[in-house]
Amino acid sequence: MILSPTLITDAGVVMLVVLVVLGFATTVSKTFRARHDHRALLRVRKLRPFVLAAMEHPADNVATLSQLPRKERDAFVALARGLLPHLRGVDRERLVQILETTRLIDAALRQTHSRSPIRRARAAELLGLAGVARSQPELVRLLRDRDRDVRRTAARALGIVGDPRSVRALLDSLDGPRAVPVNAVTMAILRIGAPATTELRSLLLHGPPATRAVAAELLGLIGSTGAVPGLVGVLESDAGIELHIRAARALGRIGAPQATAALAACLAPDQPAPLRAVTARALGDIGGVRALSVLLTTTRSPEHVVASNAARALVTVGGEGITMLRHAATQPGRAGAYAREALSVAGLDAVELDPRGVA
Amino acid sequence: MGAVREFVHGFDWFVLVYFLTLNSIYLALILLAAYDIAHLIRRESIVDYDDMFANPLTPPVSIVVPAYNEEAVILDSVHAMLALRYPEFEVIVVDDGSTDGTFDLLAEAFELRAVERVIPNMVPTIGRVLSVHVASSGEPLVVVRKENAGRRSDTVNVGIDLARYPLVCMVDADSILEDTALLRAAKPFVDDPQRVVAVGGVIRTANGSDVYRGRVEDARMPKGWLPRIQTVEYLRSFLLGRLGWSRLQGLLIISGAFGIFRRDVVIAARGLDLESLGEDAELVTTVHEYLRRARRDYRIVFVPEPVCWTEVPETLSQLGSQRRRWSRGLAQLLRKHRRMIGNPRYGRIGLVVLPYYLAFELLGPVVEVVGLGVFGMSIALGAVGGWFALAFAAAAIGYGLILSVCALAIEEFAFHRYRRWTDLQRAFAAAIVENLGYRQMHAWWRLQGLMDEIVGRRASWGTMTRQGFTSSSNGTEAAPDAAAEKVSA
Repeated sequence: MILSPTLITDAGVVMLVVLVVLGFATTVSKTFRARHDHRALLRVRKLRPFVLAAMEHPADNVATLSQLPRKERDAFVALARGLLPHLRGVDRERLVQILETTRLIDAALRQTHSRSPIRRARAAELLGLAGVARSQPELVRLLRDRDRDVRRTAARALGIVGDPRSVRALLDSLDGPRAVPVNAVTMAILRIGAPATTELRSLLLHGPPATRAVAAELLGLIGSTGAVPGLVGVLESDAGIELHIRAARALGRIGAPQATAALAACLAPDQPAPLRAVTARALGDIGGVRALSVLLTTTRSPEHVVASNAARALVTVGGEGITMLRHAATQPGRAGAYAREALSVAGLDAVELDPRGVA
Repeated sequence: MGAVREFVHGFDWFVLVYFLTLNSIYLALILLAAYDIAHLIRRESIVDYDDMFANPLTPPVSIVVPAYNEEAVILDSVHAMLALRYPEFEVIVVDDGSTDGTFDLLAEAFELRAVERVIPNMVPTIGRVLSVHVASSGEPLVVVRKENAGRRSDTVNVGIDLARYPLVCMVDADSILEDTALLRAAKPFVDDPQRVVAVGGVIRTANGSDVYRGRVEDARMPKGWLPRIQTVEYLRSFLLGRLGWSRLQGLLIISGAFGIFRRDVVIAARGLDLESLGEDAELVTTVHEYLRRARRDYRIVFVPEPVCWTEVPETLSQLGSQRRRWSRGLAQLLRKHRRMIGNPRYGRIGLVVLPYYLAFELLGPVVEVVGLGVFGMSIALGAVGGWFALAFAAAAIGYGLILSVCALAIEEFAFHRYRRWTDLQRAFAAAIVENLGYRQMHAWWRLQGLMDEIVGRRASWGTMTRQGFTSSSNGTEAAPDAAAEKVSA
C-alpha cells in the first residue's frame, strides 16, 4: 500500500508544521519590521540636527560625526545621500567636506571593491552625488562591473561628477556582454552637457555604428550647433537608416536651417517611412519657406504617420505653412484629411477667420 | 459492482496525483517568484527612477482606456492616470457607446473640444468612430466616442489605432494606477529596448481600500468574503504565478487591466482578436507566435511592483459570469493556437506553457468537478477508506492552503501593503475559507465556460456593477444608487 496511514499522518503533520511556521514567520516579520522602521526613523531624527549644525559650524561638530557608532554612521550616510541632490552652493560644499573629513568618501572608494553589489552600487552613488573628481577612474572601472545595477549606478555617478573625459568610456560601455543600458548612458552624458560635445562629434564621425547613432541623438539634445556639418554629412552618407533617423532628429532639435536641403532629400518617396516620419517633424522644427512645398507634398504620403507628421509640421512652421494647410483642407482626399486633422488638433480653424470679426 | 469500485478507486488515484502535480507546479512557480522578489527588494534602494523620468529619450506611452458605462469611476481613474509620473504620455479614453454619463463627466471636467482625426485603420475594428475630443484644459487627454460593438477588444483596438507613441499601455477604466506604475512598468523597455516587447504589471483588489482623488491612500482588505478571497487569489495566481512564469520566460497572460506593449508588435499581431473572450491572453499568445515564427529574440516580462488597483466582483453572479468568460476565452485561445501546442518550433511556449494551460487550466475544472463527484461515489460504495479520504483532502485542500499562506507570507515579507493586523488576520481567514466552497464553485463556473465554448453558446462579455471607489479622506462614500451598470455585450 503506497498510502500507508503513517505516510498520510506524516504528510499531515508536515503540512501543519509548514502552515504554523509560515504564520509565525509572517507575524514576527510584521512585528519586527514595524520596530525596525520606527528605530531607523528615530535615528535619522536624532542625527539631522547634528548634521545641520556641522554644516553651519564644521569645526565644532565634525568630531562628533566622526565618532558615530556603525548604525548611526550608516544613517548619516543615508541622510547625506538624501540631502545632496537638494543642496547647492556652500551648503553642498560643506556637506561634501564633512563626508571627506569623516573619511566616508574614502570608505566609499574602498567599497567600490566590495563583494556585495548593493554596497558597490551605494558607494558609486555616494561618490557621484558628492561629485568626487578623484573617484572617476573607479567609476569608469565599475562601468564593466559584473552586476547591471552597479554599472547603471556608476554611469549615473559619472554623469553627476561631470568630467567630459568619461564620455568615451560611457559610450564604449554600450557594447559588449556587460553593457550599460542606453538610457543610463545618455542621461549621464546629458548631465555632462556641452563639455561632452567635442568627444561626441569625434565619435559621430569615427565610432562604431551604434555609438554614432547615440552620439547623433545626444548632439541634438545638447543642441550642439557645431555638430551640424557632421550630422548633415551623416545624412548624406550611406550610414544606414538608424543613423539617418537619429541625425535627422538631431538636426530638427538643433534647428539648423543649413540642413534643410539634406533633410528634404530624406523625404523622397523611395526613403523608408520611419526616416520620412522623423524628417517631416525635423523640418517643421527648423521651419523656413524652403521646407513648405516638400512638406505639403509629403501630406499626400500613403503612410499614415508620415502624412500626419508632415501636416503637423506645417502647423509648427506657422504663417505660410498654416495658409497652405488651410488651402489643402478644402480639398478632398488624404492630403485634405491630414490638413484638417493638423489644423483641428492645433485648435486652428480650417478657414481663416476675418480679422475684423465680421461674420 | 467490483468493476465499478475498481474504476472509481482508480479514478480517485488519478485525481489525487493530478492535484499533487498541479499544486507542486504552483509551489515551484511561487518559489521562483519569491526568489525574484527577494532579488528585487534587495535592490530597491539602488534602483533609480529619477533618471528615467528626466531622460528625454525615455519612450513615450499612449495609455488606452476602454470605457463602457463607467460614470462611477471614470473621473477618479482619468485623474489618476493624468497624475502619473512619466516624462511623456497621452491618455486615450475610448467610450464604447456608453449610455450613462461617462462622456458628459469627462467633457465637463476637462473642457473637451471635438477635433478631426484621421483613423489609420492599422488594426481591425468594428464600431465606427463617431468623434474624437481633446482636453482644452491642456492635459494630454484624448476621448474617442464610438459605436458600441459589444466587445472590449474593439474598443482597445480603436485606441491602439489612434495612439501616437511607440508604447501602448492598456488600462481598464475601473483601474487605478499608482503614480510610479508607468515608470516601473516601462523600465524593462528602457533597460532592454531591443528585446522587451511586452510588460505586465500586478493587479490588486481595490475593494475596501481608501481611494482619494484617484489614489489608493490606504490599502485595506475588502469587507465581504468574496472580494477578500479574490484578494488572496490575485496574490497567489496573478502576482506570484505570473512572476514565476515570467522567470521561465513563459508568460502567457498579461492582464487587460494593466499591460504595456510595443505598438509596432501589436500592429504586426493585428491587434486584439475581436472574437476572443480572453483577448488579453490571446494577444500575448499571438505575439509569442508571431515573434517565434520570425525567429526574433524577445522578452515578455512581468514586474511585481507597479501596482494597478481594480475593483473585483462582489456578488456570486458577477464573479461566475467573469470566470465563465475567462474559461471560455482560454478554450478559444487554445483552439485557435492548437498548432503551437507541443510544437518544438515555439520553444518552451509550445512545449511547456501551452500544454500546462491545456492540461491544468482548461481541463483542471473537469478533473476537479468530476473528481469530487466520483470521490463522493467512492465513499458511498466503500471503495476508499478513511486514510485515502484524508490523503485526498490533504492533496486538494491542505496543499492549496499552504500555497495561499505562502503567497500571504511573501506579500507580508516583500510588499507589506496591508498595514493593519486585522487585514492580515482576514487574509489568513480568507485563505482557509477559499478552500471550503469557493474553489469548488470556481471549478464549476470554469467548467460551465468550457461547456459554453464546446456547445457554441452565444458569446457574452458579461455585466459588472461598478460600486465606485471608497473614500474616507473627504468623508464620502459612493452611494449604492451611484453605481453604474456595465453591460458590455
